[in-house]
Amino acid sequence: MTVKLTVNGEERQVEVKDGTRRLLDVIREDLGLTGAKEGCGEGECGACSVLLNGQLVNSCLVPIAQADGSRVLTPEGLAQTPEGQVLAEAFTECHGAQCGFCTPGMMMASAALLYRNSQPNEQEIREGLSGNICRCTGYDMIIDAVLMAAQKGRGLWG
Amino acid sequence: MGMSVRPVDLAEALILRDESGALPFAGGTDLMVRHRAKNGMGPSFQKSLLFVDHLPELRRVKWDHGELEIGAAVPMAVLADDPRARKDALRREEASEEALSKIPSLLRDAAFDLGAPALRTRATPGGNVANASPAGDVLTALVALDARVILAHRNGERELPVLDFTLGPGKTQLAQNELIRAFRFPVPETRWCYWRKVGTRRANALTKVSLGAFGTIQNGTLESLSLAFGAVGPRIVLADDAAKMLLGFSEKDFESSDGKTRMAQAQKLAAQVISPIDDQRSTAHYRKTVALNLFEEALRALAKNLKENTDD
Ligand SMILES: Cc1cc2nc3c(=O)[nH]c(=O)nc-3n(C[C@H](O)[C@H](O)[C@H](O)COP(=O)(O)OP(=O)(O)OC[C@H]3O[C@@H](n4cnc5c(N)ncnc54)[C@H](O)[C@@H]3O)c2cc1C
Ligand code: FES
Ligand code: FES
Repeated sequence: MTVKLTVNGEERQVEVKDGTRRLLDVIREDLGLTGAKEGCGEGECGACSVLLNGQLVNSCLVPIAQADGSRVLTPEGLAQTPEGQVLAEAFTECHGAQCGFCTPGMMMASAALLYRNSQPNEQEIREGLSGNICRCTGYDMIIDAVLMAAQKGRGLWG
Repeated sequence: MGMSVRPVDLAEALILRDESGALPFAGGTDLMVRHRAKNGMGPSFQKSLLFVDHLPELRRVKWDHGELEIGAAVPMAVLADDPRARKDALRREEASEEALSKIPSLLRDAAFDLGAPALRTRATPGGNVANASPAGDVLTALVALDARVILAHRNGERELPVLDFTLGPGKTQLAQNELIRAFRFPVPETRWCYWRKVGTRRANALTKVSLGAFGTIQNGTLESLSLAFGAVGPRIVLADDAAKMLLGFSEKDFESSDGKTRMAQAQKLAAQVISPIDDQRSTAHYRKTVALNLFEEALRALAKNLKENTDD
C-alpha cells in the first residue's frame, strides 16, 4: 500500500508491503530520520516518541496504516522550530542530556507537555515525562531544563 | 500473515467483521506489545486486522437523558482531561463541552492513571474492556459506574453489563461478528466518586490493587453504592454485600456505635469476596491487606463528603 504522510511539514509517500509496519521503522528506515530511537519496542521507554497530528505517541506502537494521511513531527522537525531551539538550549544549559539516547524522546514529550500546559510545576513535569526513561541523569536536570524552557519560551507554546 | 483494513465507517467495519472475522485493532497498545517481534521489526499477526480507532461512531462522547455514552475508541487522553486531546475532540465535533463536563471523576482519574501521556493518546476504553484484564483500570471504573457495553453487529445492537461481558483474563462474550461500539451509564447530579490504584511506578505500572467506588447521595444519605476492586481475582470484584451494609448512611453513622458495627461488618463482607492470588507482582496477602486499606480510605472519603454536603 501507499502511505501519505506530512513529515516535519513536508509531504512524503512511502510504499509498504504491510500496513502493520511500525511508524518507527518507516521514519527511521524509509525516511532516514533517526532522531526517534528504539529503546524497548513496547511502549515503556518513550525513546521513539513523535507527535502524530499534534499528539504525543510511541511510534513503536503505531502501525503505519493508522498514520496514513497524518502529520508527523519527529525530533528533527522539532529541532527546526523556535520551541525546539529553546528546549535544546535549556537541555544543554541544565545538563539534561548525558549519553543522549533518551534526549530526542524527552524533548518530544517536553514539547507535548508545554503545548498543553505552558507553565507546568515540577509535579506536572514529572507526570508529563513519566513515559520516558533515562538511565543517566536521574531526571532532576531534565526537570530543570523543562522549567527553564517554560520560562525562556514564554509566549511560544501558545 | 493477514491483511489490514481501515473501513470508512461502522457499517463497513461490521460487514468486514462479519465476513472475515478480522481482529479488531484500536489503539494497539495491547496488541502491538502482545504480537511484538524482534527489535527493528514490525509485529507479526496471524489474523487480518480491522482498524477501528478512527471510526466516527466509536469516537463520540454523548450526553443523553441523564446518561453518558462513551465511544469505544475515545482516547484515554480525552477521558483524562488532556486539554489538547479534548480540543481536538471538540473541533472534530466528537464531543460537546456539556458531555465532557459530565465525565465523572472516577472515570477521569482511572483514565489518567493509565500509563503515561503517549500511551493515553492511543489507548481506548474498548481495548481496555475487551482485554478483560482484572487489572484494567478503566474497566474497573466502568464496572463501579454500573456501565453497560453496547455491542454492534451488522443487523443491530445488544447491551449487557460490563462485568457480565468479561469472563476472565482475555475472555469476553464478544461474538465473532461484533464490535464494541460504546459504553453507557447514568450520571446522577449528586454523586460521590473514589478511585485509587496501587502500583509500583507512577507511569506504566501494572495495577497491583485498585478500588473504584461510586455512590449516589440524596438529602445527606447514601442512596446507592458500588465498590469495584481491581486485580484481586480473575475478574473485577463487586463487593455488593459490603455496599448494602452501608446504604442509608449519613454523616452521623460514621460516629455512632451502630454505624461502626455496620462498617466493621461491611469490611468483613468485602474481605470475603476478595480472593487475590500470588504472582510475580505481589503476594495474595499483600493484595488483600492493601485492598482492605483502600476500603477504609474510601469510607473516610465518603464520610467527609457526606459531612461537607450536610454542612451547606
Ligand atoms: C507501557 C504500557 C502501560 C500500560 N499501562 C496500563 C495501565 O496502567 N492500566 C491499564 O489498564 N492498562 C495499561 N496498559 C494496557 C493497555 O494500554 C490498555 O489495556 C488499553 O486500554 C488498550 O486499549 P487499545 O485501544 O490500545 O487496545 P488494542 O491493543 O487495540 O486492543 C486490545 C484488545 O481489545 C480488542 N478491541 C479493541 N477495540 C475493540 C472494539 N471496539 N471492539 C471489540 N474489540 C476491541 C482487540 O481486538 C484486542 O483484543 C498498558 C500498556 C502498555 C504498553
Ligand atoms: S521504543 Fe517505543 S516506547 Fe520504548
Ligand atoms: S541521557 Fe542517557 S538515557 Fe538519558
